[in-house]
Amino acid sequence: MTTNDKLKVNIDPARGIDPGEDSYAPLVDIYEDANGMTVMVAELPGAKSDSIDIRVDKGVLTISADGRREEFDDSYARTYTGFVCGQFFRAFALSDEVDRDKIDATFNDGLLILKLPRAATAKTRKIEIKQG
Amino acid sequence: MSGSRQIGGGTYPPVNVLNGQTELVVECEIAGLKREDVDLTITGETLQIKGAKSPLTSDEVRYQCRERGMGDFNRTIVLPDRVDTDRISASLANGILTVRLPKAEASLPKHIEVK
Repeated sequence: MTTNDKLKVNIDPARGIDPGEDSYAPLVDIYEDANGMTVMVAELPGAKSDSIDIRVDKGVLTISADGRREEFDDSYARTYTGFVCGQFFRAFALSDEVDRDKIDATFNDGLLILKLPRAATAKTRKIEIKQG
Repeated sequence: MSGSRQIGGGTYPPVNVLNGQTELVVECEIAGLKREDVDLTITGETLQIKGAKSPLTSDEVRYQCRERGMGDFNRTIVLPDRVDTDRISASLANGILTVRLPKAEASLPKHIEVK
């Protein structure tokens, strides 16, 4: 597990939860934007938006989606195969600094974008020193 | 297998070439790209897919994890059969580009009558 105290999403390469067979880990980018919002970008090519399932349970964010298609039957010979469309699964451990109730997700052109705002309690607060 | 998909390996974008009875199909995985980001050309039996994958943000951001590649790409595919270049169609849906190339009359099987 990669831990970074500055940023708020931890990546678990072992993907702790059993994703079942035949699932692919989507490629992701994770960055913090200028407003301190953590943004996750995941590639889910071929997936339809209604097949995407995003959950947060016990501090673990899971993304699963179905990218399978049955457009071309056996009458098509596979001359060259560079990618396979299957099910996607990946899990991430969230830090306590993420406001779990305010995670926002959008899906366009095969790209899932998750915005994870920082919880109010995790924001920097200046503490005034009272006059003695 | 979980995580069996290679990260940063292979040629971008990954393609599939399917050979049907009457058409060839080239599928291309380009998640996050829009129609105007891709340029398709055909010369004889050579299909060229060109384009650019640009980052979502122009701000200088700190990446904690960066697996998605960026930049220009150019891929040339030599088709296994002759196609009718006037009837090629291409569509982009959910990050997958599908190019349908009907086979040229000359490469379709012809029935030969035995006298």
